[in-house]
Amino acid sequence: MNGSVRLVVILAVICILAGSLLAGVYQVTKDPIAAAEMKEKLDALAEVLPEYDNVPLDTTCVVTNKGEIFVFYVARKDGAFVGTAVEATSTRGYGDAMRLMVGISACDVVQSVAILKQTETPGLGTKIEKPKFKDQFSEGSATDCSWSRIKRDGGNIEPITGATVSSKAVCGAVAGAVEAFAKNREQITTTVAPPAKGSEEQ
Amino acid sequence: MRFVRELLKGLWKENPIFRLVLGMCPALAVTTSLENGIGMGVAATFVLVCSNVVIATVRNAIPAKVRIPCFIVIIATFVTVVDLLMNGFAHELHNKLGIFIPLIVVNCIILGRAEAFASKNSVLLSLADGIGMGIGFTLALGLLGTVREIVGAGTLTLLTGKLAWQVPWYSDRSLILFIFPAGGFLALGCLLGFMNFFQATMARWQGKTFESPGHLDCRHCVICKWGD
Repeated sequence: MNGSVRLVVILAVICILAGSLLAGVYQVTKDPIAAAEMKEKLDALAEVLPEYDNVPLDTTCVVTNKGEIFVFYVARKDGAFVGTAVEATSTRGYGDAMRLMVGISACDVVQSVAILKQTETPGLGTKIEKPKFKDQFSEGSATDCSWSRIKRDGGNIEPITGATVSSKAVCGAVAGAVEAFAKNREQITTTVAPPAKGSEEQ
Repeated sequence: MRFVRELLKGLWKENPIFRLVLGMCPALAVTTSLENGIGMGVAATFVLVCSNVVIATVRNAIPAKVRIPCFIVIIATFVTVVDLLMNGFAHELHNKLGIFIPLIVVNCIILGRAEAFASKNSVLLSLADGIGMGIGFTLALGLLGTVREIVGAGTLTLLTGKLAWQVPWYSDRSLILFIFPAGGFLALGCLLGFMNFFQATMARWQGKTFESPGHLDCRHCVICKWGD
């Protein structure tokens, strides 16, 4: 009996020590992790939006289309609407859910598309990140999404050889974002930042 | 003296990948590029050194009956530490290595060194063992990653793309197979075969006979003798 109590005590002590070490490291890394994730998002926003002077992350407009929720980050310069960015997701690729950021400018065309996260087949599907493929979405109409399909399906997009599924997934995600924008254009373009909540919020 | 010997053995004589053939899961899964291989190697080295030192320190306090749970708790703690640190300070690499970081917990090199070395040797020697094994593991993953990236993608990248090199002409028509899991097996097999060939040649040159490790040659396999 005494023996097994000793085993339990020693294991418990080790677990407690390990737990407190983890708590300490978590405290130290919490802010850098949040900052890195924020920077990732801001970089993507800067990539797909025209020049802006507001804080798009605070100026959001949430719309629902076909059961999917889209968060539009609205960019303004001198108060005028210059564009919006929206995160689109597709689960039709080969890997995990694919996340991308679609930028739409004020003249109702797609500015550009940035891939935030994808786990497609290395060397084949990962080519969706190459400009040769991604740039095909630029200048596409933002009022009608029928162009965002691969050529065989009647769209304008030349798919990547050997990675039709990944190409289609990107097209689908962009089309979904464009459709959501087209249907809620009025609401999105008039979104303004909520009144500042004061500086006490961290 | 012993310190140096324990340090150096991990590089070649007991290299975890090429000699001990341990830790094959991360070795095959992440080495699609040089950078991923080195990132995984460095993360595993950190965990290995920390867990070796801690386990050697408390080796006399841990009763033999609960040693495996204790080792796993210690290793898992350091893996989580690496996961958090990497997420905070090397975010892009963390995105790439993703699910493989938590898998270091079950990397058999780390538990293997804890059980076979750190639980029986002093803190200093365990430190040397951890550093040597870790560097050997990192170099092996780096080599495997280099071969697979050059043959499979025709590129070689370091520092998240700041240092990039493309093989002229070849990079557009590379053998994508080598990026796939099957290519991992092929590349590893070729490297192991080459190392055995190299060692056999060296031994013959020195006038000795080279015995390949028992688990790497034909002796244990009966497939060829099935018809007899």
